[in-house]
Amino acid sequence: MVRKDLRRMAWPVLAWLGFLVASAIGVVLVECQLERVTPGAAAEWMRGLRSASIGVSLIGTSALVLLAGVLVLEDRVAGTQSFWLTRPIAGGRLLRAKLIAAGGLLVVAPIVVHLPVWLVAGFDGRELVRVAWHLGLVNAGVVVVAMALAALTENLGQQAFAVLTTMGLSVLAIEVVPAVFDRTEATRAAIGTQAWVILGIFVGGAGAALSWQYRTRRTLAGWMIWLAALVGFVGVRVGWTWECGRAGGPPAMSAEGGQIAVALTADGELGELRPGAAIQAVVTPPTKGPPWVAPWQGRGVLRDFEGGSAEVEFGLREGWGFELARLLTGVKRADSSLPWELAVSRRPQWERPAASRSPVFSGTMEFVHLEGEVWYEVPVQAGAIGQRGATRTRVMGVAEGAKETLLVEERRAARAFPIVQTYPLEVDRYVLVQRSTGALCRVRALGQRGVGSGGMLVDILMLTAEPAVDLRREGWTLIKVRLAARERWVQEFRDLPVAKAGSSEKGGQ
Amino acid sequence: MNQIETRGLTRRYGRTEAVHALDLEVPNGSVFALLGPNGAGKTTTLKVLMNLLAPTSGVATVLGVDSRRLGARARTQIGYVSENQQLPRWMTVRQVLDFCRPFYPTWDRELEAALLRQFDLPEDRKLAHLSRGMAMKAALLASLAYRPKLLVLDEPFSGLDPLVRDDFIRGVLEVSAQGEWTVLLASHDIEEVERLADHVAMLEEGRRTLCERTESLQARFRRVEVTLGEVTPALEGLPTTWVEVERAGRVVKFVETRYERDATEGACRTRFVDAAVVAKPMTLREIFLVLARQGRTNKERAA
Repeated sequence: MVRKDLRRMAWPVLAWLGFLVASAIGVVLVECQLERVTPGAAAEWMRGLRSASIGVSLIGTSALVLLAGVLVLEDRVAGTQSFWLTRPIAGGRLLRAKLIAAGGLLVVAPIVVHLPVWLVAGFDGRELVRVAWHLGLVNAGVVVVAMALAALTENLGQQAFAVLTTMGLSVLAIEVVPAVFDRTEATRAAIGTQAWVILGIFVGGAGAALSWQYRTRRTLAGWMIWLAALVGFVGVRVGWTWECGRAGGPPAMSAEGGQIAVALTADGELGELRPGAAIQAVVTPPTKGPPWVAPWQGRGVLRDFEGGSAEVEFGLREGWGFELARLLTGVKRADSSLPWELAVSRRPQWERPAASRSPVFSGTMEFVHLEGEVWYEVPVQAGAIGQRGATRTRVMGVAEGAKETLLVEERRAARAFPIVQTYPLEVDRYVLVQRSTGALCRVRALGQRGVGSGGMLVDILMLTAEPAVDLRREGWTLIKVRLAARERWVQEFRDLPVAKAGSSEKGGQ
Repeated sequence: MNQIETRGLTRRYGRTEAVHALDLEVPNGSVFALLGPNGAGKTTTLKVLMNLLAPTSGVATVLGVDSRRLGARARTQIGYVSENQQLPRWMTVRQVLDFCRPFYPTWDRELEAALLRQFDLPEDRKLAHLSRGMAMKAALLASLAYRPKLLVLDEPFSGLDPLVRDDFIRGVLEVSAQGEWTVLLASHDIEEVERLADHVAMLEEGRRTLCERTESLQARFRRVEVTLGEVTPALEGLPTTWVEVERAGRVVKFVETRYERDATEGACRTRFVDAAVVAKPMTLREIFLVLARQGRTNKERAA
């Protein structure tokens, strides 16, 4: 049976692999083109590149779904007209054969055809394993889902409809449902864990439906299994508000421990703190060197000296994002205070209106432990090139404007294919640091991946610096950090003064 | 011993009852034909027997196995050819045979070669490039070469030209003559069934309206022509076994459904004095049409 499927699928799979190789070559050609792109035209060029990248990814993935569908529908399971149904072939045996064929053709073969390219590009053993694992895992997940939907349908049209419906429901589940249930904040906090849980439910549900369908051919029940997986998917999206390992809550730490100093300053008038108003927390870690410490969220009471009080919650400021906020404390400056910005997320209800007060905060704040390393340092000057090992970064230019924009080209430097890079599996983000003064500049990556194929990609960064700083001054360094936030704990604060921005209130412990 | 038995077999599609409380016994070694108009439930019955569909209620056993448990082992002894079957059209005839062979311990390569010659099948041509008739012959070959105990044919003659039909039937007849093979076929091509079947069952709207040996069925049906003498009595009070009674001038025609020469002629002469009675044998097709019309008339009366 496997031989039959290999023979049947040989030409379509060869065409698909040819497309993958061609797109890999396309990446090489794009890299050659990069050399000729002027900084001024780079932003426009990069947008086109991203569109092309999305197109290539869509074609490649659609072809993968189609091929998995053809493989299953060659001996369709749903319906009563398939040739194999009246032959002495057990469903489990057929499923085994299909999985072997799918594994060989759609998971292993793409890795094999890319292997020479990766080797020539200078991947070391660890990188080879990582990129092969990543590519194989992604393809296997897509194949299992596509096979399950094909097994529950009778032809490619129905399969395509099922795939599109599933994608539509997934978008609903990811984007719309949490908004309806007002879970946006909660789910953001758990997004990493949630993604794995959802992936598990998705692929696990597809696997269960696939196995069920082949063994029993009770299609309606198979659809019910798939539907249950989708409902579980939505349920996780709506109901899952914590990260794995956090079910019991972070450990509490006494304020008397005095390990972390926090100074709170607020923008604008203190008496008019409204939701969204920024309160900056300057955190002084207790020890030098990594790991670094960052506040994560807080809740408590703001009291003024005339008896007014308001419950208040702090969260990450909208638009900054978790990883970005972590970056601020991820810089290797453990011996100095690190700025940190939180936002009032619930409107304070003052008992009496007051134009100008100096409230104090009493409550708890949750902190995360960060670990990381500086990969390389690049002075932010147009044309500057930084290199660490085989990774090279070139600043293509510094744009004018209130919010300075940098175009940074990052590439893996190898002799034959200088653009090759494995898919990043860690959290990789960037910060700017002024070498002479130690000032920090938060940066936001507007666009990161340019175009990629089979584990290789041209990685171009378009960074926006916030707040505006004069990046044309010499001495700014771009630092890329790897972060892992695993440890968390809660610390209690009493009467921590909130100062108006620009004043010189001291922090409390 | 029966190779197939059903008891109260019912299959519904939603509110539509395709097969209703069907009792059927297909004896070992018989060529059993399921007849009936389109939508009578023939194909559904075969699909339930082949475990392609689950029965809604009732029981069916095939080769002594509950049809719902009909698995790979039992299927090594069953051949199935259907006009609607999805064949691997991208394969050549040779590839189909090579693919099927390992699944059957009883595969007979000599029989395979003989049938290839008999059916005049081009081994290296893909099924997609074969005519419909040739593709059906290839499917039949792949279902005969392992000498199944039970051969199930679902509308096998549909759309085939007479020459191919003949090849097909000869193929089935030859192998069925070689041993204790049982053939169950569903068809509305009655002429072909007449050549093959020794048992027939008729279905109408999912219900069995008839089930008996072909020989006895044909023996008890006669088209009778009575040429009247001087007296032309009214056609009233006739036996209920006389159907489709009509008079054209001095000739009364009807179909006797319980024909026995002496009894039928006696009954005619009792009613029609000095009448000449001629009873002609009927083909299976004629019998089928009479029964189908009777069924429709009874239904209209009931309505």
